[in-house]
This record gives sequence, C-alpha cells and structure tokens, in this order.
Amino acid sequence: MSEFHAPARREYQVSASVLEEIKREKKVFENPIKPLDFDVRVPLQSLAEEGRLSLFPNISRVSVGMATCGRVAGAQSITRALSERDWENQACVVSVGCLGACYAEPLVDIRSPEGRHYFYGRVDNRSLWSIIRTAQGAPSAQHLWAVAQERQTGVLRGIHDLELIKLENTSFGEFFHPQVRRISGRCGLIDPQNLTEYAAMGGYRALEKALFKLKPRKIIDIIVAAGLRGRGGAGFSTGEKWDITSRSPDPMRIVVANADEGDPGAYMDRALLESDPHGVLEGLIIAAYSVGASQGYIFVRHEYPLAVQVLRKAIASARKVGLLGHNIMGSSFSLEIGVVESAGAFVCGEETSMLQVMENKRGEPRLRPPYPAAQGLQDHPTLINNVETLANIPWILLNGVDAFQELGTTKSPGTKIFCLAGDVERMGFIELPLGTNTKVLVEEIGGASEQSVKALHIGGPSGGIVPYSGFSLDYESVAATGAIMGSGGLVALGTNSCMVDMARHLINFMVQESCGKCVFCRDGLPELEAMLRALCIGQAHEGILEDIEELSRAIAEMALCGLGQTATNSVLTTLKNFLPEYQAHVRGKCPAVHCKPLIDFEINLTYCRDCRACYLVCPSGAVKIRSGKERFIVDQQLCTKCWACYETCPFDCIKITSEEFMWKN
Amino acid sequence: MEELIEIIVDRHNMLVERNIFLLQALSDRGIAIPSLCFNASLGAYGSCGLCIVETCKDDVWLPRHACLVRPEAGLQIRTASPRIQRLRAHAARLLLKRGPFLKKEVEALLLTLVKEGTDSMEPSRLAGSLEGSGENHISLDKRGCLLCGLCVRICRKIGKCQLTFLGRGKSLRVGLVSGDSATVACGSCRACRHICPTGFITPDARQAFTARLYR
Amino acid sequence: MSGYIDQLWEQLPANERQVVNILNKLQTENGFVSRDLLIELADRAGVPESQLHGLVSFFNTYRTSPAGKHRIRICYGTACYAQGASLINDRLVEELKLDGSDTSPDGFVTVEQVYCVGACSQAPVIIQDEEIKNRIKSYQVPLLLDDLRKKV
Repeated sequence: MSEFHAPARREYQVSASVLEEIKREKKVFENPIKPLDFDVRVPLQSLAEEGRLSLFPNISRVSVGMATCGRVAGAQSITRALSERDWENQACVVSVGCLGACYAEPLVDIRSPEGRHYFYGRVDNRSLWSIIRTAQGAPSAQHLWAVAQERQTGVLRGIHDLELIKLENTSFGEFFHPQVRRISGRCGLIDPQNLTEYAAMGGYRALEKALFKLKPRKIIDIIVAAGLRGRGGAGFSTGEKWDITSRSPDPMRIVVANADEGDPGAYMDRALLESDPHGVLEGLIIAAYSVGASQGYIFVRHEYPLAVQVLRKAIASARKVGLLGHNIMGSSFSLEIGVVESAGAFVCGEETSMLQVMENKRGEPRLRPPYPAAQGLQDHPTLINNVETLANIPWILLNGVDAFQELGTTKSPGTKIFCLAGDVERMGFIELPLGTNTKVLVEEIGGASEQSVKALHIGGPSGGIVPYSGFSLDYESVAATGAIMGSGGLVALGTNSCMVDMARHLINFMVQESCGKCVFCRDGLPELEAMLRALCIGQAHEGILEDIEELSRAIAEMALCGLGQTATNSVLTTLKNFLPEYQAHVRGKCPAVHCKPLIDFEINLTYCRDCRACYLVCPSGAVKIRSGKERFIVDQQLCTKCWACYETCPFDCIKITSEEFMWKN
Repeated sequence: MEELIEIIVDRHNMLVERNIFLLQALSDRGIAIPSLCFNASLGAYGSCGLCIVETCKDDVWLPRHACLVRPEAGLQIRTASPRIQRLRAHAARLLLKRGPFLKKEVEALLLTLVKEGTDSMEPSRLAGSLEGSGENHISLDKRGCLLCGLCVRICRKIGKCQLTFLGRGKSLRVGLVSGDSATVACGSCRACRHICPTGFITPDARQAFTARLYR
Repeated sequence: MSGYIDQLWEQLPANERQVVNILNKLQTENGFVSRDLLIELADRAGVPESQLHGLVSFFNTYRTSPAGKHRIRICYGTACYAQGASLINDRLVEELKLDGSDTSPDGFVTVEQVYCVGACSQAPVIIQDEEIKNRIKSYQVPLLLDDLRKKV
C-alpha cells in the first residue's frame, strides 16, 4: 500500500499565469463581485481569520441554542423574535447548537465585544427584554443565569477557555463544574453551519498535521498508544480496528461513521452532529487517510432530520474550500463522503446490519467472522467507527497521547459523553473523565438526592439495571456490576419505578426491533415478554421466575447477533439485583406501587374538604358520592388506575396501595 | 486434496476438511445433529436453532450452532449434554408454536427434542410454557412455516428471485412478489417446494405464501 | 415508466444512490412508496423487485399505500383501553369497511392506534387530525365520520 509521499503543498496560491488563463477562458472576473464558480483551495489561515470576525465581532453576538432540544423547548420563536428585530448594527443573532445543559433550553448566550458571555436559561417572553438590554450593551441582571469571561479575549477553542466570573443560578454552575468538555467543548458556542468559525477555534489543524507532518502508519500508532476505545458501546480498541483495516491486502478501503444511535435515552451523537459536525468530519477524514480509504460514508438515523441537514451542509462547505474531494488541502489524498439515511430500525446500529442496508438489502446481521474491518461493504475492508469515537481523533492528534491519558483510567483513558435522564433535576449531555464516580454524575451534576434514586439503568435496552451506589464509570467497573457502559446513556430510576415493569418495557422494545432471523430472539423474546406481562398483571404461574431466568439465558447464549445476545441483560440484572420485587409480583403485589392491576386507589377522608374534584375528574365514574360517613368511595370494579384523582386532589386524600406497600411521593 | 485437520468430537479424534461447516462434517461421518434450516449448497443460516453443540475454549464449554462453526485444529466438541438438550428443547418448543407442520417427521422431531430437554430437568418447569403463555399470535395462514429461509435462498440462487422475507421480528413472513411481465413471473420450477423441510409450500408458492406488501 | 426515479437518480451524487436514500425521498414527497415507483427503482438500481419489497417492509418509516385524507388516531394506552378504545376501533373498522388495511377504500380516513397521549383523565381519547377529542363513545362514531365528510 503506497504511502502518500507526493510533495504536499500547504497553501495553494492561484498564480498570475493561471489567473490569466482563467480570465481568457471563463470570463469569471468580468464582475469582480460575482462568486467563483469553481472550488478553490482556501488556506486554513484565511478561513480562521474569517471565522474570528464572525466569532468575535465588535458588536454583541447573540447565540440561541437551536439544536433539537432547544427547538422542542421553543427556541425557534425566540430566534425569530431576535432575528427580526432591527438592532441598528449593535448586535447580530446566530443559531448555535447545544451547550449540553438540555434542561435549561432555550438557552441564549450574549457575547460582548470585550469577550464577556452572558447566559440566560429557560428563556421565555419575560427574559427576552433582559436579553435585548444586554445585547444593546446594558447588561441586565434580571433572569441572568451566569456571566463568563474569555480568559484571553478573542481566544475560544472550547468552553474551558471561559472563566466563570458571576453565577446567579447556582444550579447552572453545579451542572458544569465537574465536567471536562474536551470533545464537546465547542458545542453551543459555535455556529455549526459555519466552517470558518470551526477553523477559528482550531479546527482542521489536526487534519493539516495528519496530512503533512505524519504518515498514516504513525497516526495509527498514536491512536493505538492513546488507548482510545470505541464509544459506541463495544469499547473495542479503536487503534487496533484501524490497524486491521490498514493491513488488509485489498487496496480498496472504506470508512463509515456510525450515526445510527438507537438507544432510547442516548443522544450524544445527535448532539455532536447538530452542534459541531466538522469535529466529526475531521475525525472521519483523518481516519480515512490513516487506513488508506478512498470512500467515506456517514450512516445516520432517519429520526435525526436536523443532524442530516447540518451534516449535508457541512460536507458541502468543506468540499467548497478543498477540505474534501480531490487533493485535500493540496495533498495527494482525496476523499468523498456520502450521507446514507436509515429508515427506522434499531438493529441497523449493528455494524453488519448497517452494511446490509448500505448494500440495498434487508438489515439482517451477517455472521461474524469475518468482521467488517476485514470484509465489509461489498466485501472490502470497512472501518466503522462511532461518531463520538471519531470526534476524539483530532483532539488526540493535536494534544498528544500523554495529555489524552491524563484523564480517565489505565484501561479506559480519556473522557466520555454521558446522557443523563430520568429522576434527576438537571438532564443533558455531559462529558466526564472515564472513571468518574456515578455520584458526581447523578447527584452533583444531575442534582438528585441519594435517597431518591433507586437504580441506574445504563447502556440502553442492551444494558443493565443496577442498584444505585457510587462506583466508577469505566468499561470494566460498569461491566463488573452486571450492566454495560453502552453508548453512555444513563437513566436514574427513582423509588417509584417498578423494576419488573421496566424490564418488561425494555424487552417489549427488543421484540419490536428484532430482525426475525433466528428463532431464539424472534420467538423467545415475545415469550419472555408475555411472562413479564403476566407478572405485572398478577397472573404468574408457579416457577415463573425460574422460567424467566432460564429463557433469558438461553436467548443470550444462542442469539446470532448483539441485539439478541444483550436483549435479556435488563431481565437478568433486575432478577439478580431486585429479586424481592419479582417475588412480590409473583404474589400479586407491586412494591413500587406502579403496576396498575396490582394497585388500589382509596380515598382517605381525614383531610377531605368535599371539593368533589376526584368525582368530577374520574373518567370511569369509579368515584362515587354517598351519603353518610363514607362520602367519597372508589368502586374498585370500575377504577382504571389512571391516577387522575391523585393528581387532582388538592388535599392529598388519595391513598394508593399494593397490599402492604403504600405509595409515597 | 483438501487439507485435513484434527478435531476431537465426544472424546474421539476425527479428521475433517478445513473449509467445511462442522454440522456437515459431522453429518458426513454419521453423527446426526438435528437441523432444519441448513443446506449444503445454500450454506449456513442459523435460523432454526436446533443444531446446537458445545465447543471448548480456554477450558470453558460454550454452546454454539454447529452449522456456524468452522473447525480449527484441536477443537473439542460435545454433541450431547444436559445443556444442549435444554437449549434444543427451547428452540423446538418455540418452533412448534409455528405449527402444525404438514410433514409429520418435523413435528415428531420437534416433540422428541422437547421431551428430551424436559426429562433432563423437572417436568413442571416447561409444562406451563409448553402450552405457550396463552396467546399464539401467528395467524392461521402462516402456520406450518418455520421461517428457515430455504425457499427464499433457493429462489434467489437458481430461480426467478420472486420470494422474499417481509416485515421483521415476530411478524416475519415469506411473501411472493409476482412480477407483472412474463419474464419475471414465477417459473414454476418447484425448487421451493422440494427444499421446504415442512411441506408448507403445497401445492405451490403462490397458494402457500399469501403475504403481500401491496394489494 | 414515469422517469421520476431516473430524475431522482441523476440528481444524487454517485455515492448517495443507496436505495434507502431514494425510498426516503419518495416517502417524504408522496407520503408512501408506490409499487410502480418501486419497480422503476429496482430496475435502475439493478436489484430484483422482491429484494426491495423485503427492504421496504423491514423498516418502520415506509407506507405502501397513501394515508387517507383524514387521520384518526385512537389512544390505546391503558386508561383509554380500559374505557373502550377497542370498541371505538371496532366501530370504525365496521363503518369504514377497513378489512385488514388501515385506510378506508375511498381513501378518506386512516385509522391508527397510538400509545398514551397523556390525557388519561379524558379517556377514551382519539386524535382526529390534530384535534384531541375526549370521552368518545362507540355510538358517536357514525356522527363523527359524518361531520368529517361535511368538512371538505
């Protein structure tokens, strides 16, 4: 395999003679304002300078978080209101991605010309005026959440170049304090559609270094030495995968970025693609260069339309300035990247299933070995890496192996992006060194109290559910608890969550997503689901727990692909860690007072004030009014356990029980 | 002459070709492993889950599909054990729910496997689940098809490529895509009918496979 | 042959002509993937038609028949189900002669089941186009359909 040894040119200047030729041929310079209609290689320096003008203008820069989380929270109307305003050249409005504090959306950041950033969270019509005031140069303290200053004005490579100088909303500070946002540092600060801003923040410098200062073999050695592990879930050594692909006798290699993030509750890849797409692209191009690939693809979920749009635009703008296509940056390396959109199937996140779809076939996983790195797309060696894994590459090349390994553990170096959801105060996507304790994530950043969290669900439907305790978040330690790190999605389950119902819910998901090829997964999982449902409705048969465990193990042992093999993790971990809950269900009780057929609603008349709210709101007419002492009573035959009475009663008179277990808020 | 390597099956040494599926190697030497979805010329598929054997790696015995194992020198294999019987019993029981099957041998095979697996553990355990957990969601016109995929694969290999799997997961079914023009219509070669292990494709594919994506 | 697929094909860069990309376009633009276009696509992509049938049915996104002019989604969450959601469904099937499809033969209404709209205190709930209607009884179905027809 030939190394790229053609003399590389760093900057491509259009020489006078060439200009003369072009002038004669294309009459391009007739109207000097007309844009060139062919692609030009623009030096990184020029891109960075243009980006600086955009990032650090000498007027106020108002950035509104417009990633999917922001939009759902209502950021579009905020952006519209701010954009349509006549600022009289005092301010400009930009749509940025997500800072990571998704609970705080819509989030607005106003940058003053002196490099001071004013953050407003949960923006609504009332805070709009404070934002306008601040943008006009008279910072308003009302509704303000935090103020930060660029440590060096005009230097911003990521959120860590900001120093907090004033904190009005302590919760906001608690969210960010323990984080180390190495990979996600630009998210929420940079306009994802603006390549020049990315260049101004140091973007594409790693690619430059890779193409002109390092050989592909050297780059692979660096990644192997760094010990980077796949962030998609398997945690396989990234450098090793690159090595296998690069050593194949087949000269035609392909790289694919896996953006089919299917775990419900995990959205770090979406966040990276929507907020900082060039970071991922740069990693992908470096990967392609290192393994000698000439074709690149990004396989992205259909359910991420904004990410697809942002990606397509990023690829087009990279191509326009010579960062993609022929002779990237003047080197002898060429690469084209195509975007392939999936159409709704969780199993397509599995590497071989994805390859099948890219070959226009049904997404049924292939038998492995051979692995895609040896034989993948059209049987060519195909390197498939997760989006977050690729986003780590430029950082490692620019900062070095030692710096990368400063954080994390020996076996799991570096940082990881976690998505925190569930019974916590503050949800979002959070970047922490691997090896951080769960308490930091759930209690310090998430804001939950130790007593309120019963269990942690880690790793999506393939993951496990473990009792909440403090342990290290690295691949080995999480595996030791019985769960798997997976893609980093973490759901905190409160004291009112039923573990049996949770397991049933996750198995139901896997039943719907199974490809159907092998009997254990296709027909075994529905049987398992039926047994779990029987538990939840109080119709357990004798020996059901043993049957559930037996079948779960059988499916895990004999399923053909990762989906089936990990589908029963939720059942096996909850059986092991929460056996008493299962046993209670066998006897027809739900300790979490959750499963509807096993709970009863009663009205405790001690504090009743006769407001009749329960009677009026009950959809099934189960609440009856009687004369005498038992004024309001629930007819158990009619009650559908919809919780409406509980939610409506202002005096907390509704008592929900499951035999001896009582529901507590 | 193809290279031969030595493997150990049930403590007996055996010489087998390198590039062969274990299931076939064993069957060629008279060791019958139950299987319904394997065909020598169509290759391994892994759907029926019956051909389970155990292989030893690092002193640990793991259950594997025999049709997916490629022999390596020194590989140790067990063709019978309580675990193998239990796992085959699960697969057989799940497949039985897709019955009844026209070919009685299939029904008999599956029932035998279930009984063998049940005898090796307390009868009460599998008794409840043998009846299924109540509902059988498989519609009547699809009963008798194992979803082994042999018909789809052979039609793709030597036929007009008219058969395909439709849907996914528990609603998986085989459909016949009848072409509009004469050149792509089913050629009535009956290959699918001959290769079907359960006799489902009777009298022909058109009448057996009623699932359609477009009506 | 309409040439529509050819048009789409030519518009796409060579490395983005995967069948899923084109099917996604068809689904977004027309609301479903018609058999005619599927046959054209099979021809252009050089794959057997049956392979595309298999692919289309594999995914959640694709419809193979146009959705009706109106859309009625019945909430099948537990509260609504217990309050007779299935009775409403049965009545709709009867009135619209659904017979296995989710859309009435005249293309007027598509009936779907969805899971928990979150308005449990108003059970049973249906969503007619974008409007949530509460406490529906199965005997109200014919009147409901009548009103829809008069709407135009």
